[in-house]
Amino acid sequence: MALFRRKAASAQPSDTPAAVKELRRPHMRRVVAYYVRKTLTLFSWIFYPVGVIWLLLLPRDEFHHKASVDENALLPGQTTKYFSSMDMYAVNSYRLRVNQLASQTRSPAEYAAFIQSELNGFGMEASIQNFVLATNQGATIGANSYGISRAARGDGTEAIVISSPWMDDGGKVNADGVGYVLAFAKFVTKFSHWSKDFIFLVTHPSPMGTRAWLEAYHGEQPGPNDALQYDPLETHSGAIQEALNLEFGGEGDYAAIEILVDGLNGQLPNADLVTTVVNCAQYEGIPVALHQAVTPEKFDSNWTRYLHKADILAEYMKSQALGLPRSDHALYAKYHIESITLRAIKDIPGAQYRVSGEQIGRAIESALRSFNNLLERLHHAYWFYIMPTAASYIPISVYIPPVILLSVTLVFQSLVMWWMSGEPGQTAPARSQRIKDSPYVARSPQLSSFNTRTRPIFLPIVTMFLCHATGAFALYMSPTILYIAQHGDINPLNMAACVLIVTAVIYGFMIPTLQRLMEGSGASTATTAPAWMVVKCIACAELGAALIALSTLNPSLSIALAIPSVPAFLLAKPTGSHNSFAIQLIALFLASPIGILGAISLLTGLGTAQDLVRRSADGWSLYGAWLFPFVLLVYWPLNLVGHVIVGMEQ
Amino acid sequence: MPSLCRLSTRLILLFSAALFFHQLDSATCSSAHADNSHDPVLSPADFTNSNNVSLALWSPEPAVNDAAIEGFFSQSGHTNNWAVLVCTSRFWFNYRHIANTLSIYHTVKRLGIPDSNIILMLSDDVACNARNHFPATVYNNAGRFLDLYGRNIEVDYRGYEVTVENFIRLLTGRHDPAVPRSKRLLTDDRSNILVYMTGHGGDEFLKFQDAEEISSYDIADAFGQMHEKKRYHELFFMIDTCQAASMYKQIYSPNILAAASALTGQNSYSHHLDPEIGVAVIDRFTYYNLETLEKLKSGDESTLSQLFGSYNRYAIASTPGIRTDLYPRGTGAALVTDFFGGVQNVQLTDTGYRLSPSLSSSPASRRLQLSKSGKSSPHNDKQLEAPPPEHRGRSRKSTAPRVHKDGRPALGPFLGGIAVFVGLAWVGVGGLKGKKESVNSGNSNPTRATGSR
Repeated sequence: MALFRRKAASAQPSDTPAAVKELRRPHMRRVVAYYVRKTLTLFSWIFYPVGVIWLLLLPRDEFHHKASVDENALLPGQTTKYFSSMDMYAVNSYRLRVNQLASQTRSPAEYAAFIQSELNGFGMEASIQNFVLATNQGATIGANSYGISRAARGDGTEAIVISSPWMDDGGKVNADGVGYVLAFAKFVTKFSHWSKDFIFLVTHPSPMGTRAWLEAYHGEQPGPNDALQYDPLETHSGAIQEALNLEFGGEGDYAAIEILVDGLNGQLPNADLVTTVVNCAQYEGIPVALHQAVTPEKFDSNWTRYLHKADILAEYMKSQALGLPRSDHALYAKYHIESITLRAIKDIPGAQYRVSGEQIGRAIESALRSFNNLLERLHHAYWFYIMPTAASYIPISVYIPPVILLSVTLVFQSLVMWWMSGEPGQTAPARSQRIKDSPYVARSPQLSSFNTRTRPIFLPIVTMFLCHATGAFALYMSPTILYIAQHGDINPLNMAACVLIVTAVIYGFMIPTLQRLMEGSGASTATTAPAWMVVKCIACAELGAALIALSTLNPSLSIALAIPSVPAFLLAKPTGSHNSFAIQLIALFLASPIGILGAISLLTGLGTAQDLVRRSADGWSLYGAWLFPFVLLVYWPLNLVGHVIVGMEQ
Repeated sequence: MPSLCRLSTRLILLFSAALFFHQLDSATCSSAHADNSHDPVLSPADFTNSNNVSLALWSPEPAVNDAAIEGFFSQSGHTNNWAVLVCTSRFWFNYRHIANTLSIYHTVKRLGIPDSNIILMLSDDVACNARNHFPATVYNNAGRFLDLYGRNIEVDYRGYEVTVENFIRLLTGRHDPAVPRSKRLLTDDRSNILVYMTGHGGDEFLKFQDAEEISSYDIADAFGQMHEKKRYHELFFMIDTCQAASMYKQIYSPNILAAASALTGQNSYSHHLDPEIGVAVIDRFTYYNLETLEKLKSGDESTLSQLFGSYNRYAIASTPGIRTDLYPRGTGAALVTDFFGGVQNVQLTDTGYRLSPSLSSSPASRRLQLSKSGKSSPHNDKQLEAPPPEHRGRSRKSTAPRVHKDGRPALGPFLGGIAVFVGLAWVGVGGLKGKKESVNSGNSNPTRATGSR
């Protein structure tokens, strides 16, 4: 207690001495801080349910914007379409020839030679790019063939790519897609109204072939130790502005066309490109699907409408969260090329309508005319959107608040931990009182600066470092582990159990031991805060910052990681109660990668989870998808930190 | 030849001025015009057809004289027509703006404004755009009846030359000395100017090239400066853009008439698209103006109020704005061809004029004098350029007396009779000149040129 001496020479003694007045401001400051802290401690979790409820409202129509083209130059569907039955004849005959060739040989070089000779036949500069991909399974040899149709009156500075993988997603020969590419190669030479060059590209195998081609087109060369080795390109055109990838694995008779928009790491093409393609298809009467679902005009009830859109949104977010290439269009976004894949759907249950090949041809032509009209890069519409149907979208301004709300809880939790660790006051500071019949003032104990605790920093840093080092080591080891898993024919459940045990040893034994060796248990004393609070403060800050940063790049992944991890982190703290200890461990386990994979395998089967791990690891090593390193370098280490917190001392 | 012309001109001036002062009460511009248009017998066209106002003046019937004089005074009072046609939009999808401008270009050219008097500003070259399905053409209709780019197009400012700065320099005549005469607006205070603009605009601005914009204040000040510099007689400002009426809001200079495609707050829409070309080919306001304008022939008597009356705001899909408060002559008196048509300067005679020695002064010698006196402004250049013998009046209402082909025997005594007046007239002109300038149309320039000696 400190006493302030009142100056004897000062004026008349009054009811409120100057010392009391002096102490009012620090008192008020402490009181405000106390209540802010208290409010945040008690109510910061409220953001999480608000965010979740908001997300659940997103499938409602009120949040959807009807897709409209913002770029004036595109003018979708305004032109006469010249694609005729003669052009369709070309598609059909090429489909037959491609199927014939695919049944005769398995050599990519022969496929490429066929495409090249056909493109050459239309008077194009056509050539072949060979590439080799070295993987754990051995070397894969591939060949891309492409031809460039120079715009008769254009300046050759810009180009549009029309591409098609030789094999479609299901491993079938994409004969119709290649047929359309070749038919369009023939078709565009008939007109002089093109302002951009066309590049007709057939890749095999894909999407690796697309990566090799794109890298070569943009002047990159493979390093001597790179897994992917490819030839440089012989002929070039201008800067590629748009790319249209065609996957029609059928016989020219389809129920609908599906659009695939999300690319590598969930990067999206400009919404104008998507809207243009969808509009052009719809003007031709083609039903356009998104994630295999065509949205009907009318629904039985609002609830079925909600369910339908929620289903598509969930599929969309799943696909975007993974950020793995689903088709060739995915790899173009890296080069700032707006791209989209059109994939034909053969049958939709309950749908009678059939789409003719000519309709598809006219829709593609119409879209090409629109791209041809463009004078600049697409820049008017959104790059950040979530699509509930093919013809509507939720712009970033609508979907970002719930995504941020989910993660901002962690940031507030971090602030709470920082304050709590410094000033453990459990009650609001009392007012300073004048001591009766004396010129002195009794200062309330909560105002004393001696009450603040020092925060241990070294131990939290050690803990964070150890966990992140574990994650980095796991990333470093992942190819080996995957190789062992694949070639050792190890049961995935055994593998998962192995990972779990190793993890448990790390957070249950190794890290606490190292902590104690280096610093101590981190228990609180009269003058120091417990270490777990600072650990949690740093961990929450890091995870919150990472998820908020991610929310702009890949909102779906941010949501997918925030939903399990935020409650787990809110709960995590050392406890004496066995029940709450168990609940915390379960929550943290469910938020961990293994727990998420376990949930996926429970919901959709073990194969899906296994496939997911393999694809995300391949996505990282082959295409540079961030999911795998993000999880191993940020998400999983922080989950480990959460486990460590639970085991620390109070 | 020039002397005779001048001589008869002066006579007319003398007489007409004298008569004018007697009839000041009745012979206002608008009423005279209204009279003419309603008088089936003595319309100005009659005098045009007879091709001899002077004979009409000497007619023993006073009614004929009066009508002739009214017809003489009631016209616009301009001697030359200019058109500034501006398309401010770039890019292929703005095809219709270029088609709009070229349509007006085609119309004013057809109605008699020569290329030398048309300043055509096109921001983009859609004709040669690679996207054009019909290379080297511009059409304003899906029927593609008329290739606006077909023959004889003279684009004065093209591409990136179409800037706000160049436009204002053009209007105000503040050019770099290196700018060729074909790119200048060589108007004077007897010039009627049509300023047509089209592009993308908003409330009190019009975008130029997507890079900059001109505000309604800029336009108003440019017109104000044109008025101060006596660069126009009357000006018709026509604009087809969104919120077009906001563009004429700030204009304050007299004798300016403005028509806009849409009121402030309204959008202006395109009319239709040509699916083969793939873009909209014309805007509604221009389209419906052309509906009227395309039917006009050179020398047509339709008034601007008739043109404005033809606007149907449901067809145009926006309400056209008309501003007439700065235009005292009234749209009922102003002819469409006062702005969209050209003053014809060509007169054919089958015999030459005889020069009297005392009045002969070759144009060359006068040019020398003027250049010595250092007056080389565009205004003076214009005067020099115009050959003095040509009548600068309108052909359909010939203001100058013309020597009639079979009137020559009758003209002999007439000329002989008035020869004695010549000297007197010569002295008299000096005193009346000031007043005549404001009312006389075609003949003031040669007169002044001589008088300034």
